Amino acid sequence: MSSELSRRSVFRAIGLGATAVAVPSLISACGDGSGGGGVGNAGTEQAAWPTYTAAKVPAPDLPGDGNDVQNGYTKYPSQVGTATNGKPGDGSVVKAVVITYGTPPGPKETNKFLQAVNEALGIDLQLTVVPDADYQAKMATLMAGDDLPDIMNIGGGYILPREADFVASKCADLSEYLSGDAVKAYPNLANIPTRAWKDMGRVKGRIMGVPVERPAPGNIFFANREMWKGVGVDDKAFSAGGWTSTDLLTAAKALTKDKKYALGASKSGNFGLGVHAPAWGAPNLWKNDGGTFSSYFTTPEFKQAVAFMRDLFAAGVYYPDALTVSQVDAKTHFAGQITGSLTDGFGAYSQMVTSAKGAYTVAPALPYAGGSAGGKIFAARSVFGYTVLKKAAPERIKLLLRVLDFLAAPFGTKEYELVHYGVEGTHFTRDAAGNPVQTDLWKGGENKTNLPITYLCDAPQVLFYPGVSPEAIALMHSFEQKTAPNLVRNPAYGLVSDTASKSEAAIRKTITDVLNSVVMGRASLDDWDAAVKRYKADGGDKIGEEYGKEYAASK
Amino acid sequence: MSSAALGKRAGRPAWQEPAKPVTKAAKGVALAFICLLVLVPFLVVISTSLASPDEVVANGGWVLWPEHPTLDAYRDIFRGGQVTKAIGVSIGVTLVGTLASLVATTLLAYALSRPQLVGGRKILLGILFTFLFPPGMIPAYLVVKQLGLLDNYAALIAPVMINVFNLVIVRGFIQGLPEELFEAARLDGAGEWQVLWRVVLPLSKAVLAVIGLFYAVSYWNAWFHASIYMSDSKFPIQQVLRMYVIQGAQLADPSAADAAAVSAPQTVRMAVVIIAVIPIILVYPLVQRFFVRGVLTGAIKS
Amino acid sequence: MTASTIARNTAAAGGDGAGKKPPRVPRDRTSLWRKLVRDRLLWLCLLPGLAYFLIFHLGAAFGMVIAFTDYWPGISVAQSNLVGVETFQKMFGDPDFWHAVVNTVEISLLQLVFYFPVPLGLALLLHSLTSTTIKRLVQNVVYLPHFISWVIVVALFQQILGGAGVVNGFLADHGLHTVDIIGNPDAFKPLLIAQVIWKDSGWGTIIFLAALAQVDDTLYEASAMDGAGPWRRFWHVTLPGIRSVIVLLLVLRLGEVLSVGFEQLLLQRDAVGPGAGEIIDTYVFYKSLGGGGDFPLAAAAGIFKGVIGAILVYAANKVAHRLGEQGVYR
Repeated sequence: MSSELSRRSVFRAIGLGATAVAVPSLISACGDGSGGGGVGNAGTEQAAWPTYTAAKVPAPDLPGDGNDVQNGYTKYPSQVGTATNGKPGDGSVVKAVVITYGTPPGPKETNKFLQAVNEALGIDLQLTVVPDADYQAKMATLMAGDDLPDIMNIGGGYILPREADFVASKCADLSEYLSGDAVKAYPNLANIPTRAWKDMGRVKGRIMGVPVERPAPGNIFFANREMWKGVGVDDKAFSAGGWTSTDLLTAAKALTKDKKYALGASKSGNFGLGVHAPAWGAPNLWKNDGGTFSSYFTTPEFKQAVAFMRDLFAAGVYYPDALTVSQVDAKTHFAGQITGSLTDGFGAYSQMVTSAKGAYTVAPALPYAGGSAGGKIFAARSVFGYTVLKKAAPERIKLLLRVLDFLAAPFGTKEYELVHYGVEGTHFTRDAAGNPVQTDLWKGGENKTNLPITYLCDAPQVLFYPGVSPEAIALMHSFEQKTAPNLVRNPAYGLVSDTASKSEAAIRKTITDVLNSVVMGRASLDDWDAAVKRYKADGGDKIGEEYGKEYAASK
Repeated sequence: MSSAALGKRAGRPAWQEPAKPVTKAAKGVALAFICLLVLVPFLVVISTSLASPDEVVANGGWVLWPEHPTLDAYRDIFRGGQVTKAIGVSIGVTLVGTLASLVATTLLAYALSRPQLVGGRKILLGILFTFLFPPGMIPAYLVVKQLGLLDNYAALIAPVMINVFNLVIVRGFIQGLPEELFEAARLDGAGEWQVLWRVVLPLSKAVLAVIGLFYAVSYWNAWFHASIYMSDSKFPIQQVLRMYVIQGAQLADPSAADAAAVSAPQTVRMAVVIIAVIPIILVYPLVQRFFVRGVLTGAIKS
Repeated sequence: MTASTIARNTAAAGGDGAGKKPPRVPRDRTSLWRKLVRDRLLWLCLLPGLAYFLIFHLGAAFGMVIAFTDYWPGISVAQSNLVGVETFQKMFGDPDFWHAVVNTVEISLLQLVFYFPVPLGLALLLHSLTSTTIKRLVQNVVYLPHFISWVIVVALFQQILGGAGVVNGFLADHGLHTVDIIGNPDAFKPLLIAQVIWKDSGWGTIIFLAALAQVDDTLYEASAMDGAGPWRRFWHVTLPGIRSVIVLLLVLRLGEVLSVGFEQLLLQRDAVGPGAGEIIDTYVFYKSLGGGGDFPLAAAAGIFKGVIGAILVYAANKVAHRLGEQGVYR
């Protein structure tokens, strides 16, 4: 639409109503209009990524490779250091908004965890937690209300409407504080690996946020090892590797009987797509073929994976009503040994082990080989999300960055201990070996699930979980080592596409609906081809083009 | 009138013939069947809340009858104090909200029901318009924000104070009262207030009880506005219940969301469901006594 | 209720329940100002409610203008550009939208035919009971499910009717054919109706029970004295007594014919796919809040729904008048 029709005519068109609706933003009604200018990085000067400076950490007994394999600790370090100098804050109020998967944390007056964190940070943290289920609605109103908190995490796998536009126009540009060597003023932020910064990406060439790091493995095929052993795939699937799609199908058929099902399934799991697609050699969401981007939906490997999932479904090895069951219920089925496996994020492991209560071994299965080029696993986006700051004076921004720096203090420091385990004697005690043991207060709700400050900023994750056995830690570590060479990354992470931010969610939903129908046998594989065509036409191709341009610009 | 009153006490009015045994039996069976359909699933929810987490997991999430009943889940819930507070918030909002809604609805309905009011029909049509075109989420949020009601309990009441459906029902009721009553009152020298107080309200007890129940239940069940307008420390029980019951149920993407976050055990989730139902079901019997026959008959005649 | 009392009056007047116009004041020639002064107390009564609608509904209803702009939540409406009816063209040109409309209408009609009569029937059954104790007890039981949230209802139904559920477990154990209900597009709409019946029938009885309670007992008495049996009394006293409330509920329901249980559908739509499970509200959700961010589309769909609703309410109200009922307005 032409720009003559812009602001003034809208005012006329809505008359008085505009005062009711529009006033909140009038103050800021300047140039950044409706984001028509684009938020891509192409044609902009790129701020350099923060210089990675590894922090001093206790020597791991299962060392990582600094990239795709995490440091593993089979016991808690006997000596913990400190990672910050003094309190980052000045006693002022800091408002923050963050997603939660827990229940309300309880008021400051009674929450000893929050009190201790506030004391250590030297701020009065006013944390608004947004339940996962309400996240999109709450964030949309927050954006519309133009009343941003000081700190806000955008994450949890959600894409906000016009997210990049929003960040570009409403959030503080952190480039001058973090780009290149500047980040050294915040040593714990400098300890965040570069892959996390890259997967967060830049907007208009600028660094607009701080990533909350996550380890490399993406969706994992978690299995009840004893059940699969019973049908003869133990060695191939869990230690030596080398099992194939035929092995999986045969074993799954043998396992499914007497009201037990080989494959757990849930609404958000999409029949384990995140495991099957790479096993058949499909790219991770996007394929970068020498600068030309195409969606994984469009690849023949992806179609093979869909066909295989269709065979699995036809064989009846999925838990019934796959797309009605919630992920929480699917976990219950797995814990109750009603299902023999469940696809979930890598981070779910410690919880699954705890739920199993030693009744069986929870083991991540190695990728099976589907077709000729298969046997891969998808790398997760290296970030849970990223944290943006409200525009403010430099002193204020620096204060907030110091707060984030504190929260990013690495494993084996006092700061990490406080943020992840609470106050010693109140939230945790130590066992004979010095490992933290959670108290009833922590288990009863005063914990970091309900006070999710680790989603504001966090240390690079390590393999250590209180209450999880050294064997389980070692298992995960060896899994990471074995799969590291087979990780498939998404080349589009960190790239910005206007079309993607406007319409990808909708067209992805449309094609996923068809995918479900095909897997469930309600639609044919030809229908899949038609859906791919439509996906491309509805914006898939355009997004690919834009990623291509972005990619060229970011090199 | 006397016969109706007598009949009520006897269970069956004098004019009604005794029911045939066959009819009685058929009704009995039908009602028993209906109650069973309702109660069995309910029982499953209660049983699950009383079972041990291990038993629930072994049964795939639901228990018909707990082997070793325990109140642990309920104890867990009340330990933190958040649920207790949320129930308090909900009770407060429900009481104040219902009262405010009843007053505003009745006054408006009364005014709109009087035929002499200039422009009354236009106002009614305007109100119906808003019923057909409800405000979108974002505009509604901006209005609440501008009024400074964010994070204020009033935000849970003011934006939903009058329900058009309830308004139309009350208005229709008042309109249906015999015009002679109004004239008689006026002849006695009563002004509009007195007509409202002495004629309309006493006769409208039943309809107001029902509308009051509708309002109370909608205030009690509401969570959406709380999720948008309130911060977590002021959440009502239904919003807290959602956090227990559906957290993690609809993850955007399990690999991107924090899969490590522990969701509440099924026993606790079901216990919250039960806790959230109990206070409001206590309200119904209070309203029920208005459903006896002849409430109005007697009132009008006297 | 509107309704029962109007009917009571008319029934008392002759029992045909038809044709009574609302009482009209004799035309007076008082000036407008005098009228306003005369009715000042009425205006005072009107004030709180009117203010409520002006502030929270009319103010916010202006938000619908975003249907004609390229608004998104990071800017104000004033900052957005007018795009005319582009959004409507896009929406009406999308076959998926029309699929969603068809599904919505189908579900709405099915509810009207199969759900709507259930609370009425249940209320009549309860009303016919002579034992007050049993009546109250049953009432207290049947309205319980209204308080169970959809997430739990869906999980319970899946637990009972699903592939690994109680019914199929029983059938399989006895060597019988299992039934495919959950996730079966052909069974989806009946399933939705069954869920609504389970959840809300008991709750729906309340308004009918209240109406039934106000049918004038002397009418029954008189009718019985005239020798009318239970059926005749039912036809000539009970039904006319609640006819108006039924009409009122139907008219208002028609106004929302394009809105059917959003939460219920959102939870179960994926299992059957959009072909059977997409309704207007879910269609809009995925395009706006659910990630698409197309808020003008959401507003446009709201306008579409409102216009259809308004037409239906207008028409239904006219029909109600023909039948001698007050309807929602006159």
